[in-house]
Amino acid sequence: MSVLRAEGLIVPARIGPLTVPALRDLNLALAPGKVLGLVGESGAGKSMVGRAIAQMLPPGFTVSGRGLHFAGQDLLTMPATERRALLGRQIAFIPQEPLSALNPVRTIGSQFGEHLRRVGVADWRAAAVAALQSVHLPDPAGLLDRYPHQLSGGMCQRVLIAMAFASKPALVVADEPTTALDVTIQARIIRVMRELQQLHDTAVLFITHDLRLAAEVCDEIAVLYAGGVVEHGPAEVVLNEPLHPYTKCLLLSAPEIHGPRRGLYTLPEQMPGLRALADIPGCRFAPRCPLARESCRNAPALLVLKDAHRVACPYPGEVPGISAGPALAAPEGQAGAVLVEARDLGKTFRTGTPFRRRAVAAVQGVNFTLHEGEFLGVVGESGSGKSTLARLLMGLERPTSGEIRLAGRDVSRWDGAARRTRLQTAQMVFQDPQSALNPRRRVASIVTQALEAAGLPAATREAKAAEILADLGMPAELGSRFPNQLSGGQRQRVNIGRALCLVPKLLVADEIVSGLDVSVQAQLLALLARLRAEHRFALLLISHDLAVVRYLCERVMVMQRGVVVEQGRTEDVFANPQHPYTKELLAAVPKG
Amino acid sequence: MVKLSRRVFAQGASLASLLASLPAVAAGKDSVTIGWPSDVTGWDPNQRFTPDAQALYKMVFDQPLDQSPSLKLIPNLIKAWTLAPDGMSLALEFRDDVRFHDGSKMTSADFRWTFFERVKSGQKLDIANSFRKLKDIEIISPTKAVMRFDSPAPTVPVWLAFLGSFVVPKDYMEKVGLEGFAAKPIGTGPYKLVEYQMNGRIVLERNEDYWGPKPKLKRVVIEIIKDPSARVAAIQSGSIDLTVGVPVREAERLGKVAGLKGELNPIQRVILLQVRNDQAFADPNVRLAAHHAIDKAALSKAFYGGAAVPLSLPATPGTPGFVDGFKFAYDPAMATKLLAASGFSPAKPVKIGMATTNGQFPNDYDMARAIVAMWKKVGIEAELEVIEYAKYFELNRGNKLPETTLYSFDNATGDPEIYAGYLLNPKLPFSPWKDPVLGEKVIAQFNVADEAKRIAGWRAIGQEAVTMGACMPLLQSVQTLVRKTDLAYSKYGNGWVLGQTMNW
Amino acid sequence: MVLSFARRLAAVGPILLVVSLLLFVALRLLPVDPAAMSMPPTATKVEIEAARSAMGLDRPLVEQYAIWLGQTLHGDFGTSIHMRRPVGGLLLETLPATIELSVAAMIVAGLLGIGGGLALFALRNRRGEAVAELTTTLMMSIPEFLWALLFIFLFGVLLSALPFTGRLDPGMTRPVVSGFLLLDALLVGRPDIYASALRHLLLPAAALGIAFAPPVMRVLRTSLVDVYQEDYIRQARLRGVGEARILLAHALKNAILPTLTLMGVQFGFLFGGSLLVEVIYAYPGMGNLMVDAVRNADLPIIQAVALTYCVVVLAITSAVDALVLLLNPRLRA
Repeated sequence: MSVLRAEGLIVPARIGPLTVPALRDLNLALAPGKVLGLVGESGAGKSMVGRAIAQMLPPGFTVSGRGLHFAGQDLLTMPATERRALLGRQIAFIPQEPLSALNPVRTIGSQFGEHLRRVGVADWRAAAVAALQSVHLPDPAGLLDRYPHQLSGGMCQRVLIAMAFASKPALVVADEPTTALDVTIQARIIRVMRELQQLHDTAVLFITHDLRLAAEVCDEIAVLYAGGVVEHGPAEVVLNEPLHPYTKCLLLSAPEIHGPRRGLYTLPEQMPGLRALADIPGCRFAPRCPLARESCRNAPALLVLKDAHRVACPYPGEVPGISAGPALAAPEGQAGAVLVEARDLGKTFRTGTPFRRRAVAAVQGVNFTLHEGEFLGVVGESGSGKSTLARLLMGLERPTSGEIRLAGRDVSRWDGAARRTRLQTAQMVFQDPQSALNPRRRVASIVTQALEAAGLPAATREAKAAEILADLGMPAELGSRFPNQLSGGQRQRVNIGRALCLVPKLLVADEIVSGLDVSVQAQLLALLARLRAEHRFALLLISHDLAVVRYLCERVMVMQRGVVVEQGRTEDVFANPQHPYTKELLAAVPKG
Repeated sequence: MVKLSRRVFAQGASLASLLASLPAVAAGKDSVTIGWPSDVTGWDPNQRFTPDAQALYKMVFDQPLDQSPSLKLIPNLIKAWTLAPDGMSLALEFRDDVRFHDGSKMTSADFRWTFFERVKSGQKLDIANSFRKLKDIEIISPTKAVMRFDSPAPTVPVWLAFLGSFVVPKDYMEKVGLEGFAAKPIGTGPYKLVEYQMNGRIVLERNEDYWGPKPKLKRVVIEIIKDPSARVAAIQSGSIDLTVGVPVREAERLGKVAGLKGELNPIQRVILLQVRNDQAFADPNVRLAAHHAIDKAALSKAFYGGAAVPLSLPATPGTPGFVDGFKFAYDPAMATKLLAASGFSPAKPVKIGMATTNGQFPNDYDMARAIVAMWKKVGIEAELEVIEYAKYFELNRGNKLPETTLYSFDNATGDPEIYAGYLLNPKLPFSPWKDPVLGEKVIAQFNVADEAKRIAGWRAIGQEAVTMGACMPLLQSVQTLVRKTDLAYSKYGNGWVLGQTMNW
Repeated sequence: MVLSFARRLAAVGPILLVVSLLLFVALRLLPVDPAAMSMPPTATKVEIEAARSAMGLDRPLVEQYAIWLGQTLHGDFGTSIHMRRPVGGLLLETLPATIELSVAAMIVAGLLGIGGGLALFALRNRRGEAVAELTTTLMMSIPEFLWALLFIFLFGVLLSALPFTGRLDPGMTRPVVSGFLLLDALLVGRPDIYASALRHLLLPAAALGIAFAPPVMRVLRTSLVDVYQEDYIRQARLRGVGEARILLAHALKNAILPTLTLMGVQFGFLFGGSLLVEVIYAYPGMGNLMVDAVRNADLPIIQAVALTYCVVVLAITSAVDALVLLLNPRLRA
């Protein structure tokens, strides 16, 4: 008997006067001891399944359908108290943000103890220590007396995994459990989860947006798009021989760290939001599908079975034909003059009290050069110092040692001349478009902000704004909108456009595509490539995602704890890593 | 879930029952609880002149001379006194059966200590100002002494019954020092101080060895309740047996409550307008017009329930300075005529300034406003200014007072020197009237030794001052008192409320 | 953590210095004449000038301040102009009473505030919410002295259930050990005095407490709403923890922190607000002393009492900060 079986599950959402199904006719079956992956971009509805199981849907959302069975009992018709009793015992959840999932004012021990007492364990202390040992945490007994903020993200997640498996549940729902963690930590967490899952023979519902990661972890994968399953089959098959155009496009939109270099497939626009769904008859993917034809737009797609592999498209045979374009060509012409030169650059932060000084060397002894028109990627995990490096370049921090030269001028000192040089030469694009754009300014005024500072008249600025928006591939009327009326991807484009307004020679981009959906990321990377061809600026791209750096940048610098451990041409470094840390990083990237 | 342990519950229950079972107030019939509006500044009775504290001091200490309820000067610690014909000395004979609360005998040495030695040794005492003319006190025997003055001092006997004149023990005070005395005071009075909490409560117990009539009540508790609303609530709830200083309307209302009696007792306090002799009031027409225009009966009715007696002289009925039959009429027509003679009318009013306190005595501010309204009708436009009581003296010293000030003046003795003399003496800080003609007369009157001549002189001065518009008396003030009906006490003409005169 | 506390303590000195200086200057710039007020009205100009000189009021301001500062640092708070007694003794007599009242009021405010906050939170988006909100607003609009009067007339006069003057029943003698009546009653082993003192404390503490409870209620409610958005609450729910336990064992511990900080700040206002309540309830505390002192322009008392207020408020806010530090492990670095 399957642990979890969804039959025709529907989650209707009420948006104003309309009722739109966020999940539509979902059919799933999860056998005991198996791992099922739910893969989809944001808004696909993958989280809704987990919420439906827990019956913790946001206000305005309900759940209905023929049945949602857990171990034979229908969760939909069960009385609330019974359902609540299942939570934590038979059904456990692993959250997305481990650091905020534990009560900050209570010790690990008190929360673990509370949980264990609830599931009926007599000697909770011994049980807790054993559980923490099973996830390979050092000093489990001491850990029980610590507070969550004293642990790292990875350690917290392991604690949560231990808590989830402590009651030996039949089903564990893991909603994006590694998204907030560094890639090496991610690998470790996945390993731990797999261990425990196999040990207790637990069924796991693994929700993620990363198809390759799902293929590594799961036995089966279900791909969701706009509230419905478009493809469902064994993990390897879905990864290597996808039968739905969306799956294929998704795979092609994400850059890869291994294999030959290739271009990225850019899906137009984005996944329709809930409100827009109501207006789409027929196949929901049709507006963006490369294989779409008239019949797709009129009638809803049917599910076609092919062994254990189901796909919601009538034309699976054409899918292998979809391909991305060629790899990005290196820019023509020789590399330009040296634009940025860093020599023994260092930044040490002094914290603590007069009695107990602590010095944190965020960046130490960094040497590199960047030529005009060159794209250099800086990779590293959190704490590697890459953001500090960016800030040093931009003059937001003052170096404590070494020097920086921009266009030949020494800008390590903070005087007027240095500042002027910096303003003329470099611009920065920040990670979070939400907070980087002034919510009270219209888009047109945001992108021409630099011109405003230079004192150019309004007419000139308006014209320039239209130009920039066209450059970014956005319709001109978006200029009169406010940032909160744009999508995440559009906001990031405005962010980039603003930096490019004065056509700087150097663009410093700090994690500008992390946190975006794969398809949106692909669009932005394509945009950067195009702009590069047009404006010929140099780019220092900071990212934790090695695949993105491989796609876009011809040179790469690997940083670990403030030090550059390896640098060189991207292809060389990634094909033949010399430093053990680089090797570790590359090994940790999910291959599928 | 919080489990209420049985022990906690039991403790809570017992505490609750303890709280509920306590009786409200022990109103036994040999004690009384009085709600008083202000505290003593300290237990050294010579130190500060606070009129409200006098009644409290009188329970613990004795004055050399006392006043009867009708305010006649009577012997107290002093058996007999003789003023020399030239007024330069006062021969005193003391009782010999007076003991302090610690058992020691009171002698003339204590008298000398109180009124002479303390002052001479530089202690900061307000009574230093009462006996300026005192040169020495000659001790003849433990029961005889003579006060000697440097100029005639006919009113000294009156002052021996006035503010701050209480006899304190010499030996005890020298032994424990000023601080020790303030902490544990002893006097010769009908009650002993048993407990004192500053701004809280005063507990007195009967002095069983008192030389005079023994008080009927064994215990007197005085609760210091400064807020008038709280006093009203306290008497109404029965937690106190008597209180003073409640608003007039409340006194009337509480009188209707079963078991309570509200009284409006006229006291030796004069409410009047002090005036300048210059600026807009240089013109006698304006002055007299202002006086004629005030309807004193209406003021009494509005603010004192009609119980305040309208006055035409700076003296209250029953005191030596009062002249029966002398009346200054309420005559608005006359006022208009006088103003017209000086060229003023309601259309063209004369502008003057008026100062008043607010809260110094009941309804002061409201009365001032009423007077301003009365004046407006006849052609006097007065600009009202509120000042603090203490500011009055400061302004007067700096000659900065406006033309007139609404003022209340206490004189527990009823002696005319302390009324007209103090109110009109340009050398003292009470009078803004600095005209030398009247001023000289007043100053001279202070030195007259012969009693009959002295009294006659003050009566004449009083009438002259009013007639020329140098003084505008308004009303005799009343004391508002609310008590339980069963509580009897002696009513003093000056408002003293004394525990030793009370009984159920 | 110890260090931030030490820094706090180090700041107390300069704060008091500045406060005392401002106070000093302000009082001497006021148009009151303490020398004149210290003499009876019959005093002559010469005598008043002599008094002024004796009080040192004719010296330059800076010199006066220096003298006063020197004396205060030695523990000599001067002599009351009106009562001619050492101010230090007056403070010793009255400060414990006011502290006792303020602490009792703070307990009332705390219990009412936290209970009310939990109730408001439980009622959110439910039917009783409007009524609860109205009640809170009403409670906030009525100032403490009005509550004081209302309680007198309700409980003291109408129901005659509780006393409203002084600290003890008239028949009882006050045990003097520490000045804190409840403590002293226990120390001398007199439960009847304890009960009487408690009864007398009820109305003034309630009047003060009820006036200061509503902001606590509101802040707690808002904090709880904020905390309930947090991930760990959702995660606890997903573990199947019951709602009651979530509220009390998880959310409250977090939400109480800003509430405590607020209560620390409020204590300052409460301590000052006790002044009016003391006068109305004839409660012999520092507030009562201060009111008379202001009326009589008794500068030494005003200065000493104002400084005492300052010290007490600083002490309480520091204590509350320390408590928050203790309860919030994230702040202990």
